[in-house]
Amino acid sequence: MKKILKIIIIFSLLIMSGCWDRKELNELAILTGLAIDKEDDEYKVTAQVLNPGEIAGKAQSTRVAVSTYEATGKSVFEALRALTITSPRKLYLSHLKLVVLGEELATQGIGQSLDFLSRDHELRTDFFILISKENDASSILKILTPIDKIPTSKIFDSIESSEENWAPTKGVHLHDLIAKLSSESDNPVLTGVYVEGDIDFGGSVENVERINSPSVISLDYLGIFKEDKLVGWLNKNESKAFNYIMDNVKNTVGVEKCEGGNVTLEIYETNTEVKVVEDNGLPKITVKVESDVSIGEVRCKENILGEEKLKELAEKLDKQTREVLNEGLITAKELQTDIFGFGEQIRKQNPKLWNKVKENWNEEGFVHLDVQIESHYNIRRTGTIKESFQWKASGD
Amino acid sequence: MKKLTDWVNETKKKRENMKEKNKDPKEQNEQFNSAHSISQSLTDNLNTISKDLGGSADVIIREFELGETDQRKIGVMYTDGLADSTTVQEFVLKTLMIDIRSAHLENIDFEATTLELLEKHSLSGGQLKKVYNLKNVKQHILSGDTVLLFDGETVGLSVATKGWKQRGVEEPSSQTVVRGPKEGFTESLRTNTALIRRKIKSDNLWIEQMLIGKETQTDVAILYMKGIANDKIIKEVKKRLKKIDIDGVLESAMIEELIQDETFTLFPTLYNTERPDVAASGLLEGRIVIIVDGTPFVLLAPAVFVQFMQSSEDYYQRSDIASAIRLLRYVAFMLALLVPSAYIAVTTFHQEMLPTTLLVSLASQREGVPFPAFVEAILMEVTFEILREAGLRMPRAVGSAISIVGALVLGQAAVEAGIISNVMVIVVALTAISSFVIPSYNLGMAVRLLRFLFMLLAAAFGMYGIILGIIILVSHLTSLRSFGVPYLSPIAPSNKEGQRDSLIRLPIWALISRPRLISQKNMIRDETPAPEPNDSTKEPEKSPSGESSK
Repeated sequence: MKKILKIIIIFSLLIMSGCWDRKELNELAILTGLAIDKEDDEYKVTAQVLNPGEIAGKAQSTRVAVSTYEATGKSVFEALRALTITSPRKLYLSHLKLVVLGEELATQGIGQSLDFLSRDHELRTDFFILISKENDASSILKILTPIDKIPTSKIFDSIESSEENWAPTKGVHLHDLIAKLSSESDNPVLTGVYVEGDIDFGGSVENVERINSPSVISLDYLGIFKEDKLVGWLNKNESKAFNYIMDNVKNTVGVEKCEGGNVTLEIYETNTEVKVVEDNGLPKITVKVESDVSIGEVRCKENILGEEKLKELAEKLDKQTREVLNEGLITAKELQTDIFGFGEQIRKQNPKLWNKVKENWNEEGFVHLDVQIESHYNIRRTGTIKESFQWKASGD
Repeated sequence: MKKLTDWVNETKKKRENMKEKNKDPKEQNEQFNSAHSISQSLTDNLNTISKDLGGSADVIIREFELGETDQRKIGVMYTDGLADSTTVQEFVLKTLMIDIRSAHLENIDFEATTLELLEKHSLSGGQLKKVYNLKNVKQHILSGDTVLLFDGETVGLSVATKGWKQRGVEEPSSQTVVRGPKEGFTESLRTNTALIRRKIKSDNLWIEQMLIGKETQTDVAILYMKGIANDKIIKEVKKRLKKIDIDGVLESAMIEELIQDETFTLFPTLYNTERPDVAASGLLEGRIVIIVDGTPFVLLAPAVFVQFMQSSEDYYQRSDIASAIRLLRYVAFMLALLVPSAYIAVTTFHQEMLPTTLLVSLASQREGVPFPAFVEAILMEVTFEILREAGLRMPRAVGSAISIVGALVLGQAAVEAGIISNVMVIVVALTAISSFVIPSYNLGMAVRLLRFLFMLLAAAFGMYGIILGIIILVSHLTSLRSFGVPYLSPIAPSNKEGQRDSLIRLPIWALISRPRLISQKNMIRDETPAPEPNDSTKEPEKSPSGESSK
């Protein structure tokens, strides 16, 4: 009797408790992009959902690989649930790659819309957060891209590759953003994204049928925040300055003038140190940038590869870097927001001092902060050729 | 489980009662008679035997008179087909009917009986045995010997004339190797013991023999290395074999099932092999080999789990390669066990575990498939099992039909019809191939069955269920014993010496001792030093050659 009872219990486990969370693959709408805009008091959520059959299936038709659905609601969560009215399947959030926030929403403050993203169990935190510049956030998700059939994955990949190879961009994950938002000594930045060309045309298949797609999604430079509100945009040099100071640069190029043209250098290793010194009860910051570079392209009339010349070149580079970094610093100071995390550095390195200066840090402490920038370049390699063939041609 | 054994015992008791009630006094009498001693009258004896054997056509009974003058009657009996007809003809019949006339028997003591005369002077057969009752006479006849009975004598004479058609030593069909001995056991017990003797010429190799099976009277031999095998295990094996009381033993599997430690497990607790080299290496490790007449599969006890994942070729290839291949087998074991269930779990519960591109490609293949992943998997796995079974059982001539039906109709057509997704076919194929990697067929069977259990768990609880299943499986494995030896040894309980030859195989010179729990005495088996680079070529340089030659 007892044995039978045991068997019944085990089987009822299998039958009754099982499968509550079961979802077949063809019951899922795999969501890869989410755009959040603010319309009056309501959130407008746009979801980009994959159409797997068109991406990897055998029998592909002319239908598009992704579809977008829109819904509005008082909160992000409500709007997402409201999407089920239009979406054929339940949205599956785990594979989210991109969240685009509207510029309008960003200027009003992004904090409230992020809560759902970090609270929901289905979401991972490895998606990038972007700000749509000029257009609505939803329009970013409505452009078809060539090569990569999934537009969000195209954006995701461009962020990753440009971050690796191009100094002015920076991909921000949710947890980075939230850490910065919740810190009083730090302010976040987010990369901007915009549509180049006609938005309506970008949503049609014609857009990807041409060799040169008329509408493309392009990454912009960094938008800077004060607390959770967007206060301005950095230009290329300023964005570069930000990444240099934050030690985010992995590999990039720099151009320096020389006689009759310029020389382009590949910066393949940079290391930034931020040091805090107390000076008369006030913090003083030294930013020391150390870079290893190699010469990538030479368009000069004269030979610049001599030992002396290279030294000169390195000095020029040092000077240029100091200027660029200063430029970024000045912009941030003008906007009164400490995006560099100097406050955070002071708090880490000298907590007592931080306690003294933390009142109105962004508006006063940071604006009047004395920042010394030092830069040192090591030219390690000159590429696979020594002298440029142009010199001989011009010399003859 | 207890209930089942209770039930078996009850039915046995009932049957015994029935037997006793049904026993006819006449029958009892007859049985008594047949076991009765040999009577003085030859004709009576021959008649009784003929009657007892039901006048079977293959039993030849001849009666003739011996010699020219001495009118003694003699009966010759043998089974046609079991006794070698040339031997019977040359050494028994010819001797008795023709040669004996030209023999000079003058100097011989005429007081002696015919039996003694023949035994000492006449019969040139190799092995002679006296038989004292009719039961033995019949046994000898039915096992291929020729029995002589004499008029007026109560003792018969059995001449070993065994010799029947048998399969020669061939390459084993079940455990094939690329490098290694190509001979396999045959159906003949004697050939099999000879094959082992040829490998181990030690006087420590002891062979004990017994008869099992009330009707079949099957010869069963127990082989072990005296001084290496554990005496307790030898005793236990003999005890368990003696307990067997069954009408017939047709294959060693029947013995295996009757002497194994645990009935209710999917895992084999006795190892079987067709290869003499595997049996010999088992003997050297202290295992006991049980050979059953009539089957090329011999049993090795005690058996541990790692043994079933080893191939004899592991020892004939370089140790590093053998180790890598062994590890590969464990990977294949896990794949064969878990791939379908992991597929079910991941695609129905844990889609977040997959990279997006993989998820998309899986999802695209599942578009339009009408069944849930679990049903799909069960369908395909069951189909595959049916195919496999069909391939095994059907006549070889129609074998190619199965592959066509299996590969084309079920695989391709099902996918094209949109009933089954492509990935599922890959999953089933991967599982199938992996399960063939397991060197032991009966462990492979266990995996086959367990796979379905895991699929059920995965469908109900996802990854959680699979992990739960693995925990239960491992605890079951640790609880198993084979003749008292823990099934998972030398991994659990851990024994570093034993682990040198379990999941991996170290070089032969590093395999110093025998398995600890199996052998328990005379542990050191190998004292070869590790090979070192030989300096002999360099030596002449060190010491001037002129000096050394002087």
